[in-house]
Amino acid sequence: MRGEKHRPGSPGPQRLLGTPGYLACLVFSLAASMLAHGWSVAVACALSLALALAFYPVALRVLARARLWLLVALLLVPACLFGGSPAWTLGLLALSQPGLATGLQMGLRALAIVVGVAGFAASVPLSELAGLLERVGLKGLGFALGVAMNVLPVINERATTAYQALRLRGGFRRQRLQALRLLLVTVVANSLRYADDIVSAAEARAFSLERARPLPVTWCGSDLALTGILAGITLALALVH
Amino acid sequence: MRLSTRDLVYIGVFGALWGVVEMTFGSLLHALNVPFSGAVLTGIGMTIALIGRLFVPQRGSVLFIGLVTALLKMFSLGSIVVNPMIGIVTEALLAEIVLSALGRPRRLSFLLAAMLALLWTFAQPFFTSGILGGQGLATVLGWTLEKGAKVLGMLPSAAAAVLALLIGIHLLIGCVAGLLAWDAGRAVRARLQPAGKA
Repeated sequence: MRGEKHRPGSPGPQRLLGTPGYLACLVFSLAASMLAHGWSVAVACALSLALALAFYPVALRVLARARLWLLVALLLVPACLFGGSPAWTLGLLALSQPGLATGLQMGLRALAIVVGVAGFAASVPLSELAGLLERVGLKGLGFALGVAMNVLPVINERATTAYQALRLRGGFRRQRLQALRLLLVTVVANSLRYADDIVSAAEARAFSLERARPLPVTWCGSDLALTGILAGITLALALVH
Repeated sequence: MRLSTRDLVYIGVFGALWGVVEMTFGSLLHALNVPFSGAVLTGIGMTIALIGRLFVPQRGSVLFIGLVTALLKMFSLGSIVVNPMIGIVTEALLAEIVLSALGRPRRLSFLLAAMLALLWTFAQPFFTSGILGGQGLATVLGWTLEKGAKVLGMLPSAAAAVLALLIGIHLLIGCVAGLLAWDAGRAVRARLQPAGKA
């Protein structure tokens, strides 16, 4: 829908791949950028961006964030200045050619990883990821994750209330460490009381982990083929020197 | 590992508590450029996860709490969170290994688990930037020494002293986190017990 804000962790308007396909893209972005040697990392980054363009264009929004380019600059500038014998001078600064190359490669690596992770987070719903993890032996993680997502705003609100109450009573004027300990105990105790309510509600609905069906995972015909192709490219990038 | 509904709900709640700390307190510490902000954040997170172990005394519970926190972080921010996610999961894994090896939750196991997790906070840049990022261990060591010397007000040439102090500070934060978790966890348990049993 036009103008509707896309929330991370919720599926986009249309999914071109199944969850395993998106997982394969994430693993490719991570593995290819880390295993590629020298300038092969540029190929890995280009492929990672091409995957984003084809399957999760929403991830490319991350390229508009100043924080990402600050990160790239933090990788590039020190490498340029201290990365080897200076080749060029820029005013008072002496720039190193091998340092520039290393910095650029690190920047490309960071770009590929960030776009891959952002794409996965934007394309795969949380419930599907939980379902996938449950299928690989982490049974119950989906339920715990669902509880965590639901209680997050409540805990945040209660922690803020406890902090304000303690502050208004002068709790942080003297014995600050004691006040922090008291805040921790209060917040954890309040959260566990709330957790007990959730347990009661779940038991009242006869929820049981043994009987619970695993969360559904969407599969797509092209997932397997894409996984194979990406695995082959990763292997090739790792072997090329 | 057989987890009951109560265990899972508690794991979700402790994961959310750690998540809240990461998302609110973490952003504040980084914005204020507080020295050792990563270590302080890990210390608080570990305190919460270890209190969680007192309430879910099952093998794997701290790792589960760490996984929930890492996934929350990934889906709430959705962008540049790879490093924190690696950190959270590895710290939880290391703490879990110590706790599982030492058996029943005790003050000593909490202390050692938190200290090992905090040691990872110090070692992580060597792994992520040095090995995975391809910058080399020597480069990362140089950066660590330079930054550490600046924060501690020492000369970078006193490399051994700077390194020892950095490791010592991380271990000290871990020690405080472990002891606080044991103490606060028992206080929470006492507070939640019905008046008649207290």
